[in-house]
Amino acid sequence: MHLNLTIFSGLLLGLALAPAVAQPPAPAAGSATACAAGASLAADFVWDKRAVEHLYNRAGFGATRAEIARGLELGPEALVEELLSGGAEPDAFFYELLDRPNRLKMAFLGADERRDYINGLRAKDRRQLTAFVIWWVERMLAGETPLRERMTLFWHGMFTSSMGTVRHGFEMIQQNQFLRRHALGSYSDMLRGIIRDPAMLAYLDNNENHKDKPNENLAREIMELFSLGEGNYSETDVKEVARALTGYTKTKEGQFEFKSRDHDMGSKTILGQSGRFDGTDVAEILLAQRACAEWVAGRLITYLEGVEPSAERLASYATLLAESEYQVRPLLRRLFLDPEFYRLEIRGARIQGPVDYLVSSSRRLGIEPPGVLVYQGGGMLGQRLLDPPNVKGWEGGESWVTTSSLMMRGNLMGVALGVVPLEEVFVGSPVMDEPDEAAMLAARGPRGRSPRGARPDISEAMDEESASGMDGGMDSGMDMGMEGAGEAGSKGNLFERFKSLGLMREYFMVKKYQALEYEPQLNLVSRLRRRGISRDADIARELAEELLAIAPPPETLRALESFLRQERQLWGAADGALLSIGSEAEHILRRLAHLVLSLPEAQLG
Amino acid sequence: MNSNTKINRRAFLAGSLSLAGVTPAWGAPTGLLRLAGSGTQPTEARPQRLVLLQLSGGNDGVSTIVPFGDDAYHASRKTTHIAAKEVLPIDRYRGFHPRLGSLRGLFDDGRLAIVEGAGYPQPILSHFKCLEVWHTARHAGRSSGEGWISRLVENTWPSTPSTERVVHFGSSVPYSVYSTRRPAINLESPSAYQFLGSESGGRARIETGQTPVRSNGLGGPGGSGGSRALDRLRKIMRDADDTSGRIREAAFAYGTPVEYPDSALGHTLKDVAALIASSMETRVFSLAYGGFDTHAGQLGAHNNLMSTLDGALGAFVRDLARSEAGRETVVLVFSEFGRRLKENGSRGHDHGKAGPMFVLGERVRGGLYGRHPSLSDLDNGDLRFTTDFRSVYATLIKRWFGADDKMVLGERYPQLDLLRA
Repeated sequence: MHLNLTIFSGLLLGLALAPAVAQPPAPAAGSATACAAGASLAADFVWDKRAVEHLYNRAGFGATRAEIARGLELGPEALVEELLSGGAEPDAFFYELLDRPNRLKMAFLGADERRDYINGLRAKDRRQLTAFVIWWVERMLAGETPLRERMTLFWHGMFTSSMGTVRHGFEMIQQNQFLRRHALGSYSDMLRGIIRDPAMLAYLDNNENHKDKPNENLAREIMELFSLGEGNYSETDVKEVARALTGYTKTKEGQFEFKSRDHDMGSKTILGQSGRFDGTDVAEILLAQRACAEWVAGRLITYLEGVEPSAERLASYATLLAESEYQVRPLLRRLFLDPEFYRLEIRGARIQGPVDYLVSSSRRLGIEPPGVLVYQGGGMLGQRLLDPPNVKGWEGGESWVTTSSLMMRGNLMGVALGVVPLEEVFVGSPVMDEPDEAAMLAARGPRGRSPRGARPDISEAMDEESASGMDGGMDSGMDMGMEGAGEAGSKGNLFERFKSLGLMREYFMVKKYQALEYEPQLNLVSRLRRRGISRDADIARELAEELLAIAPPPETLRALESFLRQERQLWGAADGALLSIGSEAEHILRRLAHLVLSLPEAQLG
Repeated sequence: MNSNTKINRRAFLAGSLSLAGVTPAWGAPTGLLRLAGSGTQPTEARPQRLVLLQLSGGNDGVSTIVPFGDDAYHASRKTTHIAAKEVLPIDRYRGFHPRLGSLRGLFDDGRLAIVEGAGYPQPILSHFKCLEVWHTARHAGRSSGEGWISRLVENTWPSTPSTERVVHFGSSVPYSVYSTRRPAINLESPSAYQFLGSESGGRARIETGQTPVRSNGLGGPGGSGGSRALDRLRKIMRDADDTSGRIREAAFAYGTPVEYPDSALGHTLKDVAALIASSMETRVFSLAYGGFDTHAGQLGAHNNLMSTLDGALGAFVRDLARSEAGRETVVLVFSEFGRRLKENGSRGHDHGKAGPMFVLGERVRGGLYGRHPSLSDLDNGDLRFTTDFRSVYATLIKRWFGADDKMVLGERYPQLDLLRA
């Protein structure tokens, strides 16, 4: 028995070796319209499809082809207004308090039964949290409210709390719904509200902040991370703010509670002002600081542009924010219509976060994978929603990508595309016996299947014409010659394999996922046919353009084309005839799409 | 197995599972050709290896090396103390936690050094900030620059960069190995450390042995934000490609008579042992074992942590002793801080300051180093550090890796006599 040494795709390697080139803008001939001299857009600014896409990448989660076309037509001002409107909100997620034990019931239970009862309630609460995150992720995938989802994610990373610490899903959902409600509203409302947010009070220990024994955790983070930034307050301010926040706590039902008897009624001096302040006063004092407007504007621009703004731009945006009483929309409107926002050096220069990557790749492709794949996959890649690693939220940028997570990203999109079985993501591809060259060649024949057997049945997605090529070999045992023993053996031993690696939790995750019986609704053959595209070079360009947020570098296109040529030649088809070889054409195209989405380029957005 | 079969198998695997034919245009003969048996590893002058094991969350040092001979110990702990008769004594003052039998055995064999009272001046009680101090060896943390391991690597192997010099096992890469130029290899488990991408008829590449031709006509200006990010991503992709097959093969091929416990830590340490036994050029391994933030109900939780640690670490060190490469390996166990001496209201202990570090291995001179902190002269309820943890770093940098400790740490710290000549 030998390990199946799936060597990293040579294509990816080949591309990784080439030096990166600056991305030229890719104006779509004929479709580019010079922007009408809008309020703030420079006259020479070109509103082309890459500009629309850039806006969608940052203000939402990638753009579909249709969205790009529509955005081009609408023009920048109208599109920005539409995004700012937040879109049509769906019915709110229904959630309820599930983990409060019924006292009466408890009274009749023995110690063991009580524990089971409590654990049962906690499990219910956790399941509700999972359902909520999936609801949120599916909102991102649906793309009906892109800016609201994007900004909710931003505020979640700034006013952050984690389920790991809070341990009550109800409170975490409540906090996220609060951020969602205000995501495009006013920062000042958010700051005022977060001081009374039950999850935050628990997360930063303010429920342990007592009159006689202050706890400075919330006080410090409010200034350091939520409003002013380090260096704009003193240690004394931290102590005084902590005093002002004493007695701010929460009930067991997950509601805010002010315990006046636990509140320090004395006078405090905060940032030069003195008075018998409480939390409401703290918010107003912070909001009045110039540093606050600068901090918030800086965080917003850095998040959306990917790099810190110049001092001059920061000052101008901070002034706008302060003058509009911290309304978020005016700032976003100016930013999204600012030619600087579209400068080439920041376009496609940001390493997408895991959730960004999974959602926007799916949207560009036009598939809607199960929300749980994005939720759990995001977690595997370092971004577990509602569970950030610490009070700073996610670090982002370069730290997102390591040798492991880069391969894992591609693998997870392979799952979304139906070309990689989820179990392999955890335990690797099946163990293989030493292959026999002849069997391999036999299996590669036009009626056989290429070596990896785990192919989805895509017959439903295929159009009639190509479906006619799907008889015979598809389900014959031909591929068994290749890896029959390994594949069948590994399926039977999946449990053992997971167990031996200490991955029982992951095993059950896989089982649950398999029960969803997800298949991507995708027909790349008919998509290309509709567009009249059939030659290798054109197919490669079409998919790369569609699936990458940046213009594909020429060396990438050549490599993708070469992949297609190799595949096509195995089937003895001439260039231009790939789409007519039958069902295998769809598999080849999905594998091509998988390669594109696994490229270094695909991490950018 | 004769070598011919081996090459065939590899050629097949490489061929069927890669996209050669594409690769030759740009591919340097990294992962694939190495696997195809074309090269031998250069022998290095210094084969020394270091394994860093971080006990994340703040390990209660007082429950690890227990000062059972001190009345103040028993007086300050009602529910979390360990009875004197259960402790595995070292002397009349201190002893190992009852679940640390293997470590005690290693100590008795002279292969475990305990550095007591490790810490640093002006201690920080935040996990986050405190870890930055341990990871950079500087009080300023991240703002001071790259991690100390990255600086060690730059100073020890300045002219022979290797993709896999530093490997971190686990989901979040610690700042100690952070480097802008040489990102560490990162994986969670070898079996999942692979790209499950498309296979294609790539045999042509191996069989025809085409000369790699670098793509030209690129030569773009570079330097824009986009191309910088892309350069870094491509470097990481190359590193992934370069190491994926070799790491999986090393883990798969590894056989040992030593039985590792069935814990995540046990699995990971066995994988580390596999890589040490392989021809990979990794010299620093990093891993973290979490769960030490025992604010509540510490006794049971800490007992379990100690069991797991002892089982996995004991097996690992026994395993290392079997090979030359293993004997040239030193294991360093540390935690960001110890815990408050006095128990809190939830049968746990809040964040504290000083705690012990462990240094293990065949080449280690076992025994007690530093000085046990006083349990009566406290710093705000916490143990005062007696030994700067950077003395341990400095010793390893200078005496183990033969590098300039001041270059790496920015300052000189007293050397400890931790290693055998």
